[in-house]
Amino acid sequence: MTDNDEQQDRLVRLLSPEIHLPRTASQPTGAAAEDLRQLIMGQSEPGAWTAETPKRHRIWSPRRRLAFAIPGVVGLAALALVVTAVLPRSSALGPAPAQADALRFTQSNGYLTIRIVDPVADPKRYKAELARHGLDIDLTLAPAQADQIGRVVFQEQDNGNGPSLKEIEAPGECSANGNCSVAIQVPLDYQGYARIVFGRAPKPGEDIQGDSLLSPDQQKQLDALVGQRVSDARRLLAGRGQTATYRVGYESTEASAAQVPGSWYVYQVAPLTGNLVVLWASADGKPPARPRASASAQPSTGPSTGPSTGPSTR
Amino acid sequence: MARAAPRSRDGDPAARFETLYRLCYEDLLRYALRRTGRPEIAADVVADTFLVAWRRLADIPAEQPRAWLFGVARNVLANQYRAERRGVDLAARLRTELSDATVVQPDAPAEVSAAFRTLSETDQELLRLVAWEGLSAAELSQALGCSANAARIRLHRARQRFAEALRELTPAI
Repeated sequence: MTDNDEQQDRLVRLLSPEIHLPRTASQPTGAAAEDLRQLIMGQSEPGAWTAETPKRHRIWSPRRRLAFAIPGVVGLAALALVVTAVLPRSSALGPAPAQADALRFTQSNGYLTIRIVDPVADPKRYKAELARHGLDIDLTLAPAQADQIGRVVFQEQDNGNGPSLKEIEAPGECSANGNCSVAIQVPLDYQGYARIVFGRAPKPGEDIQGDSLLSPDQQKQLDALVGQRVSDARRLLAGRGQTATYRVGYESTEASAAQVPGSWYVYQVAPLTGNLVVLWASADGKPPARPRASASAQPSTGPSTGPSTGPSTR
Repeated sequence: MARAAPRSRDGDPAARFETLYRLCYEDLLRYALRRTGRPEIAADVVADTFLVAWRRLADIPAEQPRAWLFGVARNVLANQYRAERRGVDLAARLRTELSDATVVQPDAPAEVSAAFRTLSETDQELLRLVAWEGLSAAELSQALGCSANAARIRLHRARQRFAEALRELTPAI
């Protein structure tokens, strides 16, 4: 630290409020502090001890990504466009949504529970309200088949070594214009990124997204691609007028056709709109295992930038 | 940097938490009071921060646990203002005890206050964490959840911007 730094610190310290604390409250062994500690320790068991830090990775729900899988930067942009396009504009319903919150936040027991108040709000409003809580979460609703209404139809999380958020599904309870009981629960120290799409009832004439568009025969054709060489899968898809888009590695990152050798094998597949089909491929046809952290790795041990990644802290 | 703290000597997570709690309770309370100026909110911030710590005990680094707690507290603060009250009010008693606490704004030179206010909230927080809470650059990285190098760079830039603002407002400094 330089002299200038020390001088600056002295100036900043001049701005520090003066705190006068009752002795009964300031002592960690005082009655109030002890009461608090005991209540906290009685809330739940402490977190499990872990010996190593997993590398930052993206978590996919295998079941769900088949329902609405659009991973990767380009795919996610496409999803945003699709969802935005099919969701009606709030302004069409009158001026009230511009004033009211689209989400409701409730804090309890170390979690922030976020419920959708306005299911037809522009997803940008969700994003903005989440950002005000320091959360980098894309939350959207998409028209879905009856059995997917109120359920998560797509999710991805990139939460590093931190805690995960949870989804609260409400089967059948998310209409296009009214009640929507779905929610997410976010740990107060959540630091990751997440994209979550809940299914809602479609409006009249609205297309349903995801693989629900597939007929049983089409689904069979897709399923038959699993285990095929990438070169064969490409040929089969081209014969049906479909185009492949690729995901590789444990992190399920998007890859170009040139980056995926034809000799690789498909281990998972999912349909997208626009005759696009996602192929997850690897050299041996097995889902990639989590990379082993090297001994020299310096994993991040940051406590939580969930809220702290908000506009006021970065 | 170690990722997970070793077990306390007796391998008891509760004992480790208790040690950490007693070590950092007052610092966190004062931090929350300085940031909020409101004892009733500060009580909740302390409660929520230690609740997170209890639940994520395994994630608290062996080194710089205090800085880790400040990082959590920052996040809790970010959510505190709009949060509704929890079902189980952990901090009820502490809130009562803090009813006599006072937070007095300092009588700082107007130019210094003005220069500080020109900084972004991010820069202000960086400088406060260092000057008010005594965090080192390494601890700052822990609190911010970034690399030590990134913390140093961010701090350096915040200092530069503060110095520039001071020069503009107080040419003599």
